[in-house]
Amino acid sequence: MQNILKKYGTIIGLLIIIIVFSILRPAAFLTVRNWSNIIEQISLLAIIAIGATVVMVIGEFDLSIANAASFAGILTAILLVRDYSMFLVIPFVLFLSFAFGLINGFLVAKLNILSFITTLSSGTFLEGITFWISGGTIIFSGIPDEFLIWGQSSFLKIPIVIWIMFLAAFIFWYIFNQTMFGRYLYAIGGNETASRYSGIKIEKNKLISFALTSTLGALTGILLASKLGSAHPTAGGGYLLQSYATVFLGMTLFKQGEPNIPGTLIGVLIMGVLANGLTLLNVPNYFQDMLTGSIIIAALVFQGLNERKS
Amino acid sequence: MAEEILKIKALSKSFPGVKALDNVDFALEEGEIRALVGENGAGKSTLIKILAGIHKKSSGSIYFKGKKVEINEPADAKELGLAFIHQDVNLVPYFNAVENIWLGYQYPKNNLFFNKKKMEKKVLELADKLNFKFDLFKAVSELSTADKWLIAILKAFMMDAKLLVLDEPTAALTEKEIRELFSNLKRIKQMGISIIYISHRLEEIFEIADTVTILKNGQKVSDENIEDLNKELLIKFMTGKKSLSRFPKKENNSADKNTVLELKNLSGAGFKNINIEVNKNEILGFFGLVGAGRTELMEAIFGLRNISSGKVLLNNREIKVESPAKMIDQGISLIPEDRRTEGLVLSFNIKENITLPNLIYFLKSKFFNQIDQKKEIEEAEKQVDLLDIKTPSIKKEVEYLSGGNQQKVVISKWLYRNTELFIFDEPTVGIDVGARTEVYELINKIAQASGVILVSSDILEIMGVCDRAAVMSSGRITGILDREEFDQDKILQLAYKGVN
Repeated sequence: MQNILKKYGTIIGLLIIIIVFSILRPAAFLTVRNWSNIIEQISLLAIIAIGATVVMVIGEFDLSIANAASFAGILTAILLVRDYSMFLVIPFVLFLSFAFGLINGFLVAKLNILSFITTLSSGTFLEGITFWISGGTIIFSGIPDEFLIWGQSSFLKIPIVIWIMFLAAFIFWYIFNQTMFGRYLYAIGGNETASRYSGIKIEKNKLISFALTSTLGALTGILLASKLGSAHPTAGGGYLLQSYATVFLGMTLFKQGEPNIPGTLIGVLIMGVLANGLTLLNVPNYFQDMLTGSIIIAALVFQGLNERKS
Repeated sequence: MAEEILKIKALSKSFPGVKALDNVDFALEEGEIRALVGENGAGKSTLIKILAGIHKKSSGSIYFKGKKVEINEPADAKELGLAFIHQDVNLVPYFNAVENIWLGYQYPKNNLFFNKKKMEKKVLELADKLNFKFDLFKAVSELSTADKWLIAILKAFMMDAKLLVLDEPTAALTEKEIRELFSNLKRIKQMGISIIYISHRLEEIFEIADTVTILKNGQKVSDENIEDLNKELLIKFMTGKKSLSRFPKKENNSADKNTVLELKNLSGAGFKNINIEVNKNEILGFFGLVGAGRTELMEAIFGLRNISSGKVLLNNREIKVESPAKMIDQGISLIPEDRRTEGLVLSFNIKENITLPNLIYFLKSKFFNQIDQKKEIEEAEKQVDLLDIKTPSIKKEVEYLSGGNQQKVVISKWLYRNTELFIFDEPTVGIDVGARTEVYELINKIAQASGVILVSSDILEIMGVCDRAAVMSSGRITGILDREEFDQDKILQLAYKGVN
């Protein structure tokens, strides 16, 4: 019994949440419509959380990830308003974010600065740029309608953002579980020194990890702008804590406590179901925040207790 | 006859599935130094942890100074006057000795402030009593490992210890520091304090201990007076084998003696003007005191440190020394000194550790960068069989293996590719006698196809295993001896050459 609780505690937690909401709001909660709503709501969080998972695997943080999202949304909107084709603009913005991530990686891996403080600073820098180019205001007039298809329309009856989420999840699941690159990332996260002694190029792998994280952050920002039809210089801000919270929740799924894609997705689902159910119950926002915070702490305490026992 | 301080009767301890201690009796007198020996898993640390109140005994009784006692938690052990000093001495690095020694005790106070004078006075008195001489006011991080041990011992005396338990105290000490520690221990013994001494280094036991208790598989094999023992006999007790050649004979002397590695006037931080050749089919030892520059030299050859001048030739061709990745490609493998921090990813299982440096050979598809996981399992299982790594499964995390098996995993990482030169840095530190012999056999086998450098601080290991030995002191090679010239005094003299 205790073993099952240890192993599947997080999943059991998710099931309990689902059962409680099903009992309290049977008519509204357990419907196909509500669930497709939930999945669509969480798809953007899932994409940015996958990004956070990448740097967490190598044992680092990227606190600039939400700034990259805001920056990408604003820059995309500005360029689209100036009539550049979105097929040029989106790759360009993603490329720029990739380069930004490389800079983070360079500072962390080559110059040996703590990732926490590096990305806090580079994120603040990027936020400054975002406010500068946007003039600090929301950009909404002049964004072409064709750009809105990414966030607002469906393919085979399923919203495109959900397709993108699943594609991103599959790609990174594949990288982490099937490829040499993924194995290297886990090795670096597990023991950087031993990895170096094993002939792994630490700097190169860290650079790429940070670049991928920033790119996924930027992708989230672009999709958010498309979904809302507008870009705000702090639009991505709310994702920072949430994305890392989901990674931490997901880490509890495995004995060794490594970040992993299925875990992150379950973490995202827990956050999404909570927000949805509490809204259905008309629970005020501030109380939702309090409850979300408590649940994350509970999960981490639970994992900490497990580790101490073993 | 001295008074008995500790008596243990029929002590047993079971963990799920294992009987770690089985009916062990043990008695210790005042002022006695008792060595506790046995292979890994023999029950030494279980016994100590029960005394320390970390584990609870399953059955049996403990008497301290003739009175039956229950030790349920570390505080109980402290109350009795049992002091435990572990391998990695736990001190706060930026506190000085005085502050460290007082840590955990009620600081004397002057109204609101600490009474520093009183703290210092008490420590000085203690140091004086024990005749310890080192800087009490320097941050601990700036002191040597030997001094840290002295601080830990002083700390034990703060609580008026009656019995000291020392766990592998010499693991990181130089020969000179070991001498000092031993004379200090002997003085402590004169004061009527008893000592339980745990060490893998048998030579030391004959120097310091009065009596020896040998454990094997959780049972006591024997209590012996040191005068009645010799090393062969002790090893026999520990391993249970009738006879054991500690250093297996190397079958070599194949014709191929080409030079694999040549260092020409190599200099860098920690080593200077190194000139030496390593041949195929040869085990070249590197002996020296801790800090002689051996590890620095090896790490430089492996691309982990900068080389300031000189040349490295591999198979008679000059090579550029860059990163470990490049050196591995060129055919140099380093089995590092510290398995747990440098050799293994502890959270990875056996299979993942073995294949980590070789994944390039396991790609199913280059384009998709995909690992062939079936092949990975097959090859890892082959290695586990070949090296006789004891584990229920290759999916077991290496964290849970014994030291000897961990070392075998580290070695097997490098057996999958063609390697010209193997560098072993202290390959048998902290592993038990039986596993050591297996490691030596493995090194012998490896030397049949490659050149081998063996760095070791164990002079008997150097003399037992190597074909030639280079001795380093203060960053320079002070002598190179052939096997016929091996002589303990000669090697030690070379190792101390130029040391003040």
